Amino acid sequence: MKRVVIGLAAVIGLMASAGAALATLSVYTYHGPSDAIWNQIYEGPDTFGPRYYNRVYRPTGTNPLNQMCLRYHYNDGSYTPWQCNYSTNPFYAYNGSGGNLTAYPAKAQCKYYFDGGLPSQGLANVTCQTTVGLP
Amino acid sequence: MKRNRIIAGLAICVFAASAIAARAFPHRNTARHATPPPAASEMRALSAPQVEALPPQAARDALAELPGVRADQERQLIAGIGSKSYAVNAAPTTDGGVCMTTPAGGGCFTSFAPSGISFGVGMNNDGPASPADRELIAGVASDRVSRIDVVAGNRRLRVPLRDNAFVYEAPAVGVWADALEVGLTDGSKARVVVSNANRAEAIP
Repeated sequence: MKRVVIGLAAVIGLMASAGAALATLSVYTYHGPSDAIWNQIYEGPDTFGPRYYNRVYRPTGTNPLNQMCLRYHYNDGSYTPWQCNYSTNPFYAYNGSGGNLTAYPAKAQCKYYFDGGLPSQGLANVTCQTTVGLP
Repeated sequence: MKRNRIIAGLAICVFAASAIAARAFPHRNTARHATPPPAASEMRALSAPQVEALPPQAARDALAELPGVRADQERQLIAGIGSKSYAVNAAPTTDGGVCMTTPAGGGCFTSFAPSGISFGVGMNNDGPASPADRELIAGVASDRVSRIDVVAGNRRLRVPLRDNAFVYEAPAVGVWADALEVGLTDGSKARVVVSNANRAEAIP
């Protein structure tokens, strides 16, 4: 009986600490190089973990090729489809219900992409962010 | 007297030159004066009485996180489209812009491009990419937009457009939009190239 109680207490303790870790949200910012490259992926935190949502701040200006894309990369090598957008700033990835697209365990990725673009097309000041943790 | 004549002559020359320049370079002139109107002022559905249901809580939470959004004016503009009953939700911002959540991403923008639309491109799947995924395009449209068609190869597919918002789900795997053809209320058309990053990428 005593063992069961101790085991249960340990399980509850573990669950509580895991919950506390997930409930702590922090924003991780990662940048493209100063002259961002077409179709180049920029990656969020190196470790796979809980990701609440992704967003990207595009450089201001009227470059019609300024399409930014977001996705998650899972630790088994799979990834979510890209979501891309030309005009909103910031641009957020959402799920099918219009809520934040979350993933766990995952890395965040973003890239500057246009099918007809050239690898040499530069784009300065791309800022990507992912929110680490789950509420 | 002679000086007055010279001044009058110069004034006529300047007037004539500016009139000629205005005809020769109409875009330069309009570009200087034509600041696009705030996006929210071009979306009647955002100020009309709520017709559709309120956005689902997840979308309301996501909208509330966006900068300057007027959460009391959130609207679900179009709903019940496609395999997962997709919807587009939007709200005006304090500076007259618009924020939106769609199943293909979203965010905020200040004014519409001349095409009258703002949209995201993705796939109809929130999980790991799969060979069964179909293209998904969703966004908002200004009051100037009367019709949207997807141009996919030699196919032309009508896009559901209601209350300033639209959702398109490809009818089959491998049907990719090359462009959106936007019909405007003045009878003109705009063509917006679609470049889906998922199109060229192999699924692991």
